[in-house]
Amino acid sequence: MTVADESDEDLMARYGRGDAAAFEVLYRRHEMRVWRYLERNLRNRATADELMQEVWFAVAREAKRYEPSARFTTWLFTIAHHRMIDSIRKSRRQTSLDSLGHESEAVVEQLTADPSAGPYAAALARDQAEALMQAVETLPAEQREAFLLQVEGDLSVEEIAAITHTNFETTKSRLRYARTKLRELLEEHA
Amino acid sequence: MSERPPSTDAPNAGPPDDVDNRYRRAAALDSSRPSDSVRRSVLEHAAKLASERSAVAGSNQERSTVAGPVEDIPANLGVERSAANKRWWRPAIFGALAAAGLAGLLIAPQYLPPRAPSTVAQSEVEATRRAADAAPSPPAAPPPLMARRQSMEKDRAAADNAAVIAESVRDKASSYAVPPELESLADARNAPAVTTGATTVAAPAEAPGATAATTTSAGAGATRLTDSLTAKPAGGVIQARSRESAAALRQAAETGDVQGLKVQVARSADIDARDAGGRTPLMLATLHGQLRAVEALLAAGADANAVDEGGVTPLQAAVNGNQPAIAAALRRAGAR
Repeated sequence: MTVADESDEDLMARYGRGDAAAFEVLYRRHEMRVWRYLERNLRNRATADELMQEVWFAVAREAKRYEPSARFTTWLFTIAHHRMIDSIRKSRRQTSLDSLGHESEAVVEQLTADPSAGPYAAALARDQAEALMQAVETLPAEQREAFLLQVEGDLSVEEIAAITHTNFETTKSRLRYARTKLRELLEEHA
Repeated sequence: MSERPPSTDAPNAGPPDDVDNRYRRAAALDSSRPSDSVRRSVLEHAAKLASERSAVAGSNQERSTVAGPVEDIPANLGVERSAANKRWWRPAIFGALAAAGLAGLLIAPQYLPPRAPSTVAQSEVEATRRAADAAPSPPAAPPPLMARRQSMEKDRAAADNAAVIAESVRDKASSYAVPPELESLADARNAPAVTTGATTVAAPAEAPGATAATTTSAGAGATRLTDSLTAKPAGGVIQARSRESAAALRQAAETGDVQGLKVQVARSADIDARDAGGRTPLMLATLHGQLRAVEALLAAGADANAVDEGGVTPLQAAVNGNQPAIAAALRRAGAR
């Protein structure tokens, strides 16, 4: 079995013992999921970059304390959630920081820049992706986060409830409302 | 690059939904990525920590081969190795101890009570008293002329003693390298203290017939004089040095002289010492776009939210001055 085939938990254990290659595999495996979770919740590329670094620094720093009783992704997205909440709290106190940039349009452009697709497919994909992005952005913050934790983190309702400090039924409702609203918005767009 | 974990024990996240699928298809097209600098810094940081862990593990292994087999502690049990095993702690601990010792030497004399007479002198006093009590009849009181002469001699001796002490104190004060413009201030503080002290020392010589006791009390007076002389100029010198260090710290912050910053911080300069406009070194470094100085100051514990007289925080200054890297550093340090 190669390093790339190892489970997240085994890779963390190896990294905790000083194997830097294990961390790199882990990082590359989850980089984009964490990034999308942060960037789409925050809708600010600079802040997402900053938090991305903080999250992975924390993972590297805490590797020795990581206990494989929980799935790695649960632990990872718990860290990301906490960093994001801290960041949102800070930015609420400092509204002038909003001027640092709302770059969702640029994200949409990048999202749709698929060189392998033909012109029609690219246009269609761009259209759909843009619609989806807009729809996700219009969700209430709690619903958006629950939805992103599920689709990006592959987390269960129980895990999302634990991370966001809400009960099971509330989390379930948020997910249901999020999907219903996304479906409606996408149908309107179609 | 696989983005999905290989583990197959993912919990049931609910039935696949068309919305989820559409989202995942869009995500697969997503070319938005964290910046290269983030990826690079994360991987470098992780590699650095890994090499430190390897080094620690290697040294532990060496130790275990010398001292016999030691049970290996799994890294993921949440057990922290003792700080003494981390090499970087050692210079930090020695440095902190040295700084504490220096601070104690400089500050402690101000708070020490006047020294008590020595036990030798006390025993001499007791012996004199016992001898006086044991005498069958006290000698006749000296004639007024002799008493006055004795008193004058004691006054002269005490004054000489005070002069010697004052001279030694001046020597000590001069070793603090007082700036020339402050020397006159220190001298002005010294002068009345000497005069007052000499008067205080001479005063107890009124009681006739108790020579040892008088000498002892004169010694105690001289001790008090020494304390008063050492306390006042030392406090002034420390304040002057502190102001000088604060000014140097601000200048280093403005010019981005990180080495200079470290030197001033090591000299116990107030890291948040404000200038006339209420600006801290951190604010000045921010205003002058000195990222490395900002990082050094934050690492040394500068207040990230100290506002200037206009109520502006360093973070606001960074945003207004279009300094995103400094703003990011400040925010990481908890700036608002």
